[in-house]
Amino acid sequence: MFYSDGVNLMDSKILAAALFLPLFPLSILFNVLFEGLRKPLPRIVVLLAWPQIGAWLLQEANSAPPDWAVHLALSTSLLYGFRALVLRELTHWISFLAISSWSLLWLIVGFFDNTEALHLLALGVSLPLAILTLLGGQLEKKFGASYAGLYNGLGHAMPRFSGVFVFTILAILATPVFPGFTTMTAAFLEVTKASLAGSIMLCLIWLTWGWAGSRLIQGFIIGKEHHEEIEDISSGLTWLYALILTGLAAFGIFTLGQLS
Amino acid sequence: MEQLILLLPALPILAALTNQLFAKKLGRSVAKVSVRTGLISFIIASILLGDQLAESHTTGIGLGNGFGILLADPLSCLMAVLITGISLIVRIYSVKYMAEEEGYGRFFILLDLMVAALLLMGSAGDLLTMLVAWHLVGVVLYFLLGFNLRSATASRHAFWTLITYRIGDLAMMLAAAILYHTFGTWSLPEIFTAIRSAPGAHTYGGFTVEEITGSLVAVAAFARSAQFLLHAWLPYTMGGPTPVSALMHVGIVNAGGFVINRFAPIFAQTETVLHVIFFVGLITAIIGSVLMLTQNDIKKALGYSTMGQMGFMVMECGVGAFSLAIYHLIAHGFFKGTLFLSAGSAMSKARKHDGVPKKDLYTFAVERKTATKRQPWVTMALITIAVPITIIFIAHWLVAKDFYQKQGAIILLFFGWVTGAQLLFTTYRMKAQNFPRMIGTILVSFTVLIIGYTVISHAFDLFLYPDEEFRKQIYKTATIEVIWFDLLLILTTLVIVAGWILTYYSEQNRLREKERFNNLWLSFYALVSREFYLMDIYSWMARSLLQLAARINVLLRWR
Repeated sequence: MFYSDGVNLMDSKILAAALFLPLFPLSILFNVLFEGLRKPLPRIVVLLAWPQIGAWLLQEANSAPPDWAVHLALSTSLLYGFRALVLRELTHWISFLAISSWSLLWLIVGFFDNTEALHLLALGVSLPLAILTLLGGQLEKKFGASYAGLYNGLGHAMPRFSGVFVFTILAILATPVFPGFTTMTAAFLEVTKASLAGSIMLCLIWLTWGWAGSRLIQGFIIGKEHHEEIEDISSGLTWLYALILTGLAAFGIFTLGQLS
Repeated sequence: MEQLILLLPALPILAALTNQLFAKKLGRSVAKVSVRTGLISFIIASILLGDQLAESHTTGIGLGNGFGILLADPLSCLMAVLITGISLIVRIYSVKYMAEEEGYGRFFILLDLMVAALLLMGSAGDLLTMLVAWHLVGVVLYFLLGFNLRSATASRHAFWTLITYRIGDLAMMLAAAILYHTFGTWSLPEIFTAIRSAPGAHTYGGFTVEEITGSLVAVAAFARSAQFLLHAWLPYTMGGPTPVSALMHVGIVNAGGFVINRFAPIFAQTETVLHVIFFVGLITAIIGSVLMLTQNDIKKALGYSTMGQMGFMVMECGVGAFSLAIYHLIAHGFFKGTLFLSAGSAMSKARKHDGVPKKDLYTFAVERKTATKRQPWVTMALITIAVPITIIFIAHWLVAKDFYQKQGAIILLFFGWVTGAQLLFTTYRMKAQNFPRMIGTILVSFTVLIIGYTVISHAFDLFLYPDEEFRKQIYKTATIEVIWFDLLLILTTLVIVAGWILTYYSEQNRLREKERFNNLWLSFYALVSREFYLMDIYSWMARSLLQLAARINVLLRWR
């Protein structure tokens, strides 16, 4: 048992939260919506706003999430992490990883004393996904599609882009010291309190993320370049991305300190 | 003085940042920045170790809030000297070795980050810092092994390493979560003090906290030190640059032995974990050595050699000889590092001259020509059995009069005896012009080696674990019932002696030339040379999982 029972299972706020911090099968709706958006900008707005609404709804519910929701959150996260293993299209990948990461926020609702922490961590998890959406948009502009394996070898052809791409993926995969790592550590602390089975599920989730991420890196960055003279992203833009990622890492260290 | 430890991880991070930010201005001078900071780190680490040697003590230097604590104690200072020393050699070696490679600057940045992560891991005084460093070592290694961005093969092998390391990372994360949940602190010294004051007082999932966290830390160590079933990545990661292979085999892969030592107070209170560690180490040592002997590719053979050594190191932990494992990892680091870093010049020299002396050793080992006139076998058998055991007994007796009461010491003594006996047994068939001189040289080398090994490992024991009661507790935990111990020892002796007799019998009767025996031998050889089909099984499992993921996606229409 993860949390105390006695919660109205049909609590409307909890159900609404299951759409915004998507739980399967409501996650399908989020996927349909996200893929329906053709431009990067609306996608970024959705990625940043969607989990904030979910976090707000969870906190407004004024009670700990019921057991069924926590179990479903773990299962949803594992399902989408596992399914992301074979994804090559970047938009799909972002959408699946968003669902997989946001589901974990259900586990840490009561972990922090202050209510802002959940919102900040939701932002910390979503921001790298938003950056990857921007990068995907740039790839679509250059090649017409952002598809792993279609034009590998970007590591040599676009070194600045590749550097940003790799660090963004690392941030999404909850690598230390990004905020995702804090979220994952907090989730481990909460789940371990309750059961070993839940902890093992978390391990599997993290394992699938790492696998999916390295397949994506291999599909885009590694290999012999087949392109003539591709223009890399500008130095200024690289600095901007680097600044955001450094800020994220600093924020991650700060939140990690909050765990003690 | 202890504040200096903060500089150890900070300096390589600073070097990496400088090289990244001023890459264009610095050009090839990125190497200078890296080497110079490496040298300063080594000096600082040596000062810290000197301070510990003068008077061993434990001090925690924290960044605040119970997170980011670095521990200045004998173990962390010893590891710091090892890491900074070896990484300095690797950096100096890389200056010229990597000169022709693309991504020269990137290489040094990654190398510095790796050193920073290793130093942080070695001195982590709280679980959070340990987790961060432990994870980062795997991540940076992934990028170092896949340094050649054009090589899909190197990238694939780097991925195998990453995924194996992840298994260890997750075990470590679970152990940390259980420890924090139980003791309410991340601080390692506080957790260890709580465990010492009330061992076995807390349970989790029906087991004592020490038993379950000890098991999880052991899994983390197994993944990092390529123990059997988690070893497949090691022999295949030679596609990376040679300096990376050197650093990996010399330093990174030894993390298993280090982490078992770091969590020694937990292992000292377990019931069965050390026995499992011994068993896994033993299997790894045997399988690693067998696989090494069957490889045609010298790099893979070196990989399996490291696996065998790591097995031996873990096995030493399993018998309670924790400090011996640290000495072993340092000694192994030096000889394996020399092998890797001199491989290039050795190959260059071998093109002009193979370097093999065409004397007795060559005709015996390469041309397989044995002596026509052999020494009397009774004399040889006596020397074989009596001499090594006498030397080993004397060496152990010199450092501890009661060593025969420790099962761990007996097991290590047993291994030393088998190895020494095997060496002497081989000389029975060897052609030598001056036999007494040859056997004398072997005996002197063996004596120096054994006495040196025993005395130094004893000194390590006193330095790393000054508390005698604690040392006794570790050996006690590693001990099994006398009857079982004696039975196992007799059984192992019988198996080894039977192996010797079988070898002698088959050589005498030329069994290899007989078809039935030959077929059996070839089947066994095929099994070993295909590495027990483990890689095929793992690849099949990975393919099946990917197919399953694709099927689920199709079923759910990719939503």
